[in-house]
Amino acid sequence: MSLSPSTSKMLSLKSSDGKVLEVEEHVAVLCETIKSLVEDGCADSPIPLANVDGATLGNVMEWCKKHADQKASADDLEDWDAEFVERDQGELYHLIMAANYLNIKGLLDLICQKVADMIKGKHPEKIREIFNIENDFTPEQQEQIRKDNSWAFE
Amino acid sequence: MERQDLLIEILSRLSVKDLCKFKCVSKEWYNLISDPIFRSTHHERAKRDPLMLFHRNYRRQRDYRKIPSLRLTTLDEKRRTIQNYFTTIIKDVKKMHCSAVVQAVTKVYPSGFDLVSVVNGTDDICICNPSTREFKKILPAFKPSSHPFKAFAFGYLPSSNEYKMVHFFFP
Repeated sequence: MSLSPSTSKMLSLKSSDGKVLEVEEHVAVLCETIKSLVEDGCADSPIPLANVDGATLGNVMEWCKKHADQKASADDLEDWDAEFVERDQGELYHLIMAANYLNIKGLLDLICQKVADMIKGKHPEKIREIFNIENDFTPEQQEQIRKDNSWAFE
Repeated sequence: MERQDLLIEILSRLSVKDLCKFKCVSKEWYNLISDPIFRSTHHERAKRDPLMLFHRNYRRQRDYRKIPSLRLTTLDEKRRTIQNYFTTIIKDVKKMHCSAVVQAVTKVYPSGFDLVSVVNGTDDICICNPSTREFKKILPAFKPSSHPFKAFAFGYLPSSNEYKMVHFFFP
């Protein structure tokens, strides 16, 4: 099946909060989940995306549009991606969930790397704060783990 | 992917140092980071971009003979040498309960995978993971003093996911 831009038709995508987005098919099929629907002929309009809200869907499609553009060079994409991930934590969280649900490996890799870069070198206490994790160790257990890995805290 | 798989995707991009630190975030993180499946995922990703290298080094003796020795070097993200890591391992081995291992001549045998074995002149053996600085002393196969001609070999067997240490001697 040819999916070149010239023959591309439009698909409508419906977000969890009921917003409908018109996207060119060759852009939307960067999402493996949508691609399978299109290939199986199940892409009834509009395609309901129950796990993605409208704002996040807009961001995801912006990324897909850039990455579907065959004129974009690798360097150009890298710079563009670096700017794309400059977002607050909440937006990154929604993007990671959406990239996972829509199965877009490139976007998932990008956001995971961004989150990894955000947390590297941080103190465990800060990590708990970022991910909203409760410390479920007793002080003794905590001390033992610190002792066993004391070199990492140097 | 489940939530935990996403966490693996993120954490497998971190350095071993950060991961050892993040073990005390929560029980879930501790179990995840200690899990052998996570370790192999991390290894697969990290080996594309190694930050720890073994290399052969030649020391010149007074009589101009060259003596080969093995060095373990750590690199930073920009591929600059941080330190000769070998002395760090020896220091760590001393600190742990393996102090007997580092007396006398110490030899290091890399396995070609994660682990390294350290053997001293009296054949005390210590297996170590230089990345996580975990150590374990193991018992030699025979009484060393009675067999002056001996050799060691250490390797990783991918087919069975096992490390093998071979200790052989000529009576």
